[in-house]
Amino acid sequence: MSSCHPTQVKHTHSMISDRQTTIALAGQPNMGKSTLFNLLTGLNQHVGNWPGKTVEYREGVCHYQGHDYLLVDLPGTYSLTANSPEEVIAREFILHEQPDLVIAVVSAANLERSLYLVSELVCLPVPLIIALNMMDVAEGEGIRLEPEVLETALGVPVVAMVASRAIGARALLEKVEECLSGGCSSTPSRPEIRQDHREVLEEVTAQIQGYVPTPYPTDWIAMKLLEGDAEVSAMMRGVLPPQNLSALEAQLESHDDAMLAIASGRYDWIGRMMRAAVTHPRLGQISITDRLDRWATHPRLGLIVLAGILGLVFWLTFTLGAPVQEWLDTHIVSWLSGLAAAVLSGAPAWLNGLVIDGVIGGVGAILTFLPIMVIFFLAFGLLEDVGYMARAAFVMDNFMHMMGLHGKSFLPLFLGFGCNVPAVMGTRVIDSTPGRLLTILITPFVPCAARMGVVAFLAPAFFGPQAVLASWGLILLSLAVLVISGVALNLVLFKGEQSAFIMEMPLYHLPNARTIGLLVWHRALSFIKKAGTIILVFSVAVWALSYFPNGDLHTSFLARFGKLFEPVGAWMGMDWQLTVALLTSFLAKENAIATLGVMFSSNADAGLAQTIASLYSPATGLAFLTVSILFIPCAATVAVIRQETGSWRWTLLNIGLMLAVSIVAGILVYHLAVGLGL
Amino acid sequence: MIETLLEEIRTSGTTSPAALASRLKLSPGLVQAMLEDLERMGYLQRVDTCSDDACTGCPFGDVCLPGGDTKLWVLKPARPGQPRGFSDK
Repeated sequence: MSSCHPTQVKHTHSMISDRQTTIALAGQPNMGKSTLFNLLTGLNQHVGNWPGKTVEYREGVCHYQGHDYLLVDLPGTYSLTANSPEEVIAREFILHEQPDLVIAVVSAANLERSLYLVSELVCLPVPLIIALNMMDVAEGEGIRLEPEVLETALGVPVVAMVASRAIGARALLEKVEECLSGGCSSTPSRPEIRQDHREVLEEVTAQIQGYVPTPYPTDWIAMKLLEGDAEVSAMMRGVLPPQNLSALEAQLESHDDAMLAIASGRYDWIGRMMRAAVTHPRLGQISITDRLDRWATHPRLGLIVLAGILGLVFWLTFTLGAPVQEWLDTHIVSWLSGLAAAVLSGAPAWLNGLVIDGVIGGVGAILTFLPIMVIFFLAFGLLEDVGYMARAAFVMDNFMHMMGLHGKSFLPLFLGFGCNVPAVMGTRVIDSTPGRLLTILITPFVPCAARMGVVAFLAPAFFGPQAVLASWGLILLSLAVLVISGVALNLVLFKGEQSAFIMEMPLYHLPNARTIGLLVWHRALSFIKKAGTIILVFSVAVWALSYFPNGDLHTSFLARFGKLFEPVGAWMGMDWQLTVALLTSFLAKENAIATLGVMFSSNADAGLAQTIASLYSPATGLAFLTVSILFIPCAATVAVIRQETGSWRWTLLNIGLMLAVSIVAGILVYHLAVGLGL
Repeated sequence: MIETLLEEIRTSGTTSPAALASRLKLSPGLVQAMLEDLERMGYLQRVDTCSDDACTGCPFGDVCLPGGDTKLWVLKPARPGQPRGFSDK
């Protein structure tokens, strides 16, 4: 049928110097153009670069029925507007080199997208054949189309084929022969600019008539000027006389939406082709993803699904992680404390305190956290990997809109669930300064993984079987506070401005064990590393403050510092120890646990959680967790807020806002809980 | 058709290509193509937040939404202005 011979690439401006019969292959990326090129020319094509470009140039010779055709593989392009070097190369080749024929490779499985390029090719003065490729894929997807009808609708020859299996290649080459010998009837149906812009197109055409350089068609240049094509505009600026140029500038300036009118005409044309040729659209349109998304992305049901999933994550965390955590706390940490006490029985009291209270009490408490964090990362990693988290973000943003928040703010807020630091940095996507500042101000209200971990650690101790409900309520409370703060600030700063957001969500799919396993592994290692470095140093420092000057916790430097703030803590039922634990969480949220571990580790008979539960009422516990989850951001977040706002004023405003909100919420929650008899 | 899509986006707030296709009774592929075209024309802006080191410290940075195959666009507040290129003197 066909055979191939390598040819030399001519690196001159004129790519085809001796008039060999030349066929250009055009098509969008991933439509099977290269497969067809390889099929027609064999594997020995010559590869080089387009003159002066880094874009790959491929050509080869196809022998068929005693004829030699030079095949040029044009770069894959979505359109012929000068958006990229590839698009300029493709259209300049067609217009300047004037190949004898262009074969447009389109995918039958993705016809509506493929036809956009065709809608531009039919406007060029060159014979065209459509290679309707991937018919097998279309059939597999339940799409049925009629190539003959498409041919009639387009007004150019259409050949159905499966290039990957050489099906249809002979028919294509026969059609090529027929067209080159003048046997094809080709009267292309061309898209038209939207009705309301036809007059301006005529005016633009009139302004450039007689000045358009060869070989460009005048009507094509007029369309490209209206589209705002940079290359064509620059070319015409160089050739038009001043009076035509100013008239043209005025016309284009008063029709700045012309590019939309042109695209509109093209999509209407595509719609007509599709309606004519496709007799059965894609089957299975109601896929599993669609079915699930009816619930998961519904504006109201989606929020219920999200709340339910958050509750489920906490239930799993407590059901699976809390017993392991408790066992580690009461057996391993207590055993280690006992062992250290035995080994250090003759050592000075301060060394005993440093090792048992400072190191084991602080770092040990944090390490018992690990099973909870592992389950947490596992659950969220799983939700992300199956594709749910994108839906969670989607319904959250819907919710934000309902509450009047800015659409662009959702992404940083979503990132905040992992860590507030990237969330604050993520506000860079927001163009307007007030919008960005508002989002920065409310982002730290999103409960990050570390804060949720603190809740997950202490909730079972305070609330026993009701821990899931309490944790779930705390997360929802923090989101409610976020929304209320956002709405209030939005009214002041944003004046109710809204912006649209489009999110293409991934298909649901089975989770990949390796991806999730690696995520959990990396995060667990990172957590252990943090416990062994920052938290170890911090625990030792807290211990030193709690030990000196006289070895008594209640008269220590730490106690003196804590008692300064105790009156505020007392409004929420907290003593100075809980108040200090809150204050130390400024450095890192997990430090609240480490501080409690240092201060309460002397009780070797019970784990930290049990000790705390025996000392404080559920009302105090609830107030403590409420303040913890709404408290001032950690030091890293504060640093990044300063960096992103470039202002200490905004940074301090954020700290002040969160401090005030957390204290007010803590007081309200405490008194409400006491009122309920907790 | 494309201006209908643009108007639908303007009034929808947060939406997805699938929802737009369903509401306008268009194929998802066509909507996808139009969204990309609107992006090229400057009506929509593609959002990518994790192109720098912002997500390094995040526990879910490895599997997070912006790093995955999720595409995000925002509607630009105003029209992109006059056709590109012609007034670049």
